[in-house]
Amino acid sequence: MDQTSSHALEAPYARTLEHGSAGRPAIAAGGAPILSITGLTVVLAEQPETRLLEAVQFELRKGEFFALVGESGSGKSVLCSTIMGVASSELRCLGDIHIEGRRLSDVDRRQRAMIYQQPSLYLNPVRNIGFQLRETVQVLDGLSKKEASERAADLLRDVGINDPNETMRKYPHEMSGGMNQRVMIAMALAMKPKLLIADEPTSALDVTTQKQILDLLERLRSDMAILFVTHDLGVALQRSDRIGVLYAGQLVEIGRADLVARTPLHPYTRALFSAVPPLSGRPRRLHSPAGSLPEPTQRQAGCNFASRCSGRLDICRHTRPTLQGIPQQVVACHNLEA
Amino acid sequence: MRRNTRKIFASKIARALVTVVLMVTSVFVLMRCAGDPVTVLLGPDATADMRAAYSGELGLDRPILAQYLAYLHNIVRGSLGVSYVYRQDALGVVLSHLPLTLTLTCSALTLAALAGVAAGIAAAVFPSSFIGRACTVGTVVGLCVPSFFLAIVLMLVFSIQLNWLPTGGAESWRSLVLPAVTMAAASSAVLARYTRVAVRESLDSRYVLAAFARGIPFWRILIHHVLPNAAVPILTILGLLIGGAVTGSTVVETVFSWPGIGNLFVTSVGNRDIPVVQAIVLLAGTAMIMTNLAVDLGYTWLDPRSKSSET
Ligand SMILES: Nc1ncnc2c1ncn2[C@@H]1O[C@H](COP(=O)(O)OP(=O)(O)OP(=O)(O)O)[C@@H](O)[C@H]1O
Ligand code: SF4
Ligand SMILES: [Mg+2]
Repeated sequence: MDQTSSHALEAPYARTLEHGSAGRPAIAAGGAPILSITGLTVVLAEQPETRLLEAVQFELRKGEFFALVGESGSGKSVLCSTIMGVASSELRCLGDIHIEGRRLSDVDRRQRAMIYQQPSLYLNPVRNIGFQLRETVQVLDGLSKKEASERAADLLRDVGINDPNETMRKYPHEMSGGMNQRVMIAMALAMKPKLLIADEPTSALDVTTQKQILDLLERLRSDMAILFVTHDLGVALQRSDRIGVLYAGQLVEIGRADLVARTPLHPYTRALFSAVPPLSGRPRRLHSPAGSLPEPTQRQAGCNFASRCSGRLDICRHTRPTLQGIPQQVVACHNLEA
Repeated sequence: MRRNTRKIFASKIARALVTVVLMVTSVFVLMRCAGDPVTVLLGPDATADMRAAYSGELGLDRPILAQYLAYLHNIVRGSLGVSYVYRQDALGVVLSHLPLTLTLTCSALTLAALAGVAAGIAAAVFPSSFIGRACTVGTVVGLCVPSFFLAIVLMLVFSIQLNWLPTGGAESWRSLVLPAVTMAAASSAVLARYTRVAVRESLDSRYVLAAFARGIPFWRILIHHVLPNAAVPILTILGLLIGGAVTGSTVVETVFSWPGIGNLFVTSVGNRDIPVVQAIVLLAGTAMIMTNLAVDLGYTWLDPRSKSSET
């Protein structure tokens, strides 16, 4: 534990990469990262001392499936919209987000796309699916109307919709949540993104549809990096290469999915996964330990988890722990022996 | 789907027709409740002979149901009695005033729609800019100032002080300007307010956020995503304003001596010219029901969700 937090994150990439038992890359695949976030802090513009995200730092590489977990209010959606560049105007972002080595503001919009938990809210209710999909490809590629229709139909076939022309005539309210989510994914694919952000894309779907959407994402991941927000630890464990645990705006643990699930190091992660039988493979909803997440306005110096932690030390009250650890798993906690 | 739409249209039209019949019936009832028509016509000093003669002539001695049926029959034939003042067919008298009222209300509503929707969009899109603030302030003023007051102010400034425009009458297009502007002021303020709310709501929606995230340019989002959504509430308000314009023109027509239906209505009430008053009420009522129907059909056409949620 002689490394500082920034070393802990940079060091793995400088070393030879270890591979996990499932043949997955240890922390990230080789090559330049697609997404790289350093020291990202998001505060309220009106009250800069209220931090919604604090010193968030991680990288995503091509083909990687990164699961972000954390209880409601921990800042997952704020992180997603900040990366998308559509964060609310009430928020201020400090720190750096780079996509393929370039600053967010210099990056072409189509390099990143996002899908959401309730797709029907993110589709215009009074325009049909065909209009919205055609518009997206037309604006991006400057296609003619006819070419755009063909491209739209191809995209719908790509996401497993077999009657694209029928679907394009429909309105969002005439389709199921799963179908709308496929349409959202088709729109995202239209942008040929390097990074796909998925904010709980399957939480509102039934188990069968959920599996279909996950399989679809699995099929698409080779061309991009996927940041997948979920409350479902089973899904995180089964589908992702790495898991990041967000607590009160801070990443408290990042590591190879199997390690985080089997040997969680942070007391909060441990509490989460203690409720999941590790080998049953049965998906479980996120189970939070007793107590509650401190509101962004009530966060103080020291560890944010201190009020709920049984292994708390004196130092925890006044010094905020930073991420450190072995290449495959980093954790922000003062008491790793607890 | 398409058959569903046709069915919804048919049921809405049928409902409007039923409303017309109810309206016609309530006019009949109201006219009878307003007092004995003979007394109203002849005044309290009339002799019994005169009363009896009048009752017979108007058919008021027959049973009420027979009177009602005769009334309906006359309406269907388009005969609403003879004006006591003009000694002509009442409906004819009213219709001869219609073109001027239509000219006034149509100009006023067009003006109101253009100004109101434009101001509403500007106020929603640029809330803190000068133009946005100006629209917001203008809206409040337009809503608060009563139209007779505005009429007098406009008349003082543009007719009496500057002598640019006539104070009344309907001689040339110049006579139209002040009454049309007066009538448009309040309507455009109402419209601007609802437009601003509707556009703002749509701009804040998640589908607009997602469209931004897909890289769709702002103006395209405004025209193709925001306005089609905002159109539904805007159309509803516009329909109410059109319905209200029929009665709203009364004050303006009177102040500017614009010889339209509103003016005729005020004079006819003063003259106790009941057939003309009745013809105006029936016509205005029908016009209101028809604009509501048009709005309703337009709404169904604009909002695909209303087609499937209707039973
Ligand atoms: N525009 C904003 N202004 C003020 N506070 C905000 C804003 N957006 C989010 N927050 C606050 O930031 C915190 C994190 O919110 P966020 O939506 O990111 O949570 P989340 O992790 O996505 O939760 P969930 O699992 O419920 O989706 C919450 O306390 C929320 O109240
Ligand atoms: S830093 Fe201290 S309080 Fe925070 S999780 Fe670790 S042991 Fe618990
Ligand atoms: Mg969220």
